[in-house]
Amino acid sequence: MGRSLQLVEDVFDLMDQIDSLANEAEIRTEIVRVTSIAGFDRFAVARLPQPRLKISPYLLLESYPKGWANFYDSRGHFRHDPVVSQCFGSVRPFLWSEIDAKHITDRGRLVMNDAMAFGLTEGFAVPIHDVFGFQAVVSMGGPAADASPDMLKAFHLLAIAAFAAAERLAGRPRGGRSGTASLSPREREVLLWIAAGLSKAAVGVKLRIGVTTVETHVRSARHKLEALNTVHAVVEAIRRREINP
Amino acid sequence: MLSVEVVTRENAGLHRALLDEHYRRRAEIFVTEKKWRDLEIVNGTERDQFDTAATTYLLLVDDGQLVGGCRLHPSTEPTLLSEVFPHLASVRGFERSPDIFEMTRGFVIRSRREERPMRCGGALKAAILEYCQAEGIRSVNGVCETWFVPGLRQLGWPVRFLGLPQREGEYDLVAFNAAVTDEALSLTREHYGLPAPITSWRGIVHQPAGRPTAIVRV
Repeated sequence: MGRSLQLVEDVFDLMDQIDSLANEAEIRTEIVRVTSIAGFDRFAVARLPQPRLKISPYLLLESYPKGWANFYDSRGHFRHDPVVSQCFGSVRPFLWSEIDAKHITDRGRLVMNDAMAFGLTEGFAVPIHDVFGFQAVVSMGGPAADASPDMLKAFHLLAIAAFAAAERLAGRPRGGRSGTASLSPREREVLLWIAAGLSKAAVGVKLRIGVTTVETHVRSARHKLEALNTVHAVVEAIRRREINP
Repeated sequence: MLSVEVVTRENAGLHRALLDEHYRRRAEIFVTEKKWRDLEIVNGTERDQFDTAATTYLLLVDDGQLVGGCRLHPSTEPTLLSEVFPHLASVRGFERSPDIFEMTRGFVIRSRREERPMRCGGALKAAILEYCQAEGIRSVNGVCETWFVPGLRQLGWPVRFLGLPQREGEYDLVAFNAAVTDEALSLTREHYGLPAPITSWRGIVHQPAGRPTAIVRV
């Protein structure tokens, strides 16, 4: 059996199993096991926040090189990343090397060079458009790719399965990266009103509580959601389905 | 208010005008707008070899106006997947059985696509599941644009790919099978805020033979 055909079979077998894998590490290992055959030994599933924010709070599942996500955020790479910009404009998967050079700024080139220094020379990105109107990406990377067109098609489907698996895992309490505590009814109520456009003072009037109490609820929600600010807390609460504005 | 008329050969007479409007909308959307290949407009309408006596139409109506629709075919008949896109199922193949149907030609008219969430699209998805449950259909096959699948998965549809996606003109298409589940129906209804049931079975009185569940027609 050809290498390509065998890999396609492997991907389909993995897609049949992935929903029954309960463990994050296991899912990561299984995905990398098949993608590394084509030279992609790293991958990440991430929601794409609006540009200018950091990527790390939005990583759902990843096997990226140690330190890369933090380095990426510390350099403010997200808003300049050519892979990210290409995802916002497209529903079609693409190889990083296929991004039109005309669309890569000098700053964007720096992102790609830094990625290379972390062993991410070539990659395959699958833009995901979800039913909530959010955008996500599944990106696979490695030192060099050796993938046939059929392998890339199989990885396109695997990316969709990986996104579903990552969402399933993120929907449950996860150790480590994200907080496990869910919001109290009052915290949800406060975030809902903020999401509707009310100021903290106005929320206080609405709920007949003092503005300092509102602030306490927001602070507690931010802490639970590991959010950088109130807007981030609202976004994160929506993403985790804690609120449904 | 949104509702979906179930139209088969049994009650087609009752829905003649609606059905004709649907053929006209298909011409406008699939031929003129989407430029699907191998389709043509005849007398302002679009039909193909899969519009047969065995086809069921789910016609989405809002205030008496047709705003969307889709088609369902028994997988035991020739279908789009079996006749036109069998290569899309080359890895896993597809099953043909009286309790597996195929869905095709789903559309929402342009003026109703901007709404978020797109309730018209949601109503059609819910109608497909309601129809299948009522008729004892266990799963549906379909060919769709690949980017559409993550959304279906989020709505609880247990989508299984049948083969690799392929480029058809400007579209990236993939074939799938999805089991009809209570979870998918309730998540779909919930996400789009839809009334239950959304389907109207006016003019249909048959009881599917050999199926134990009593079906309430409203």
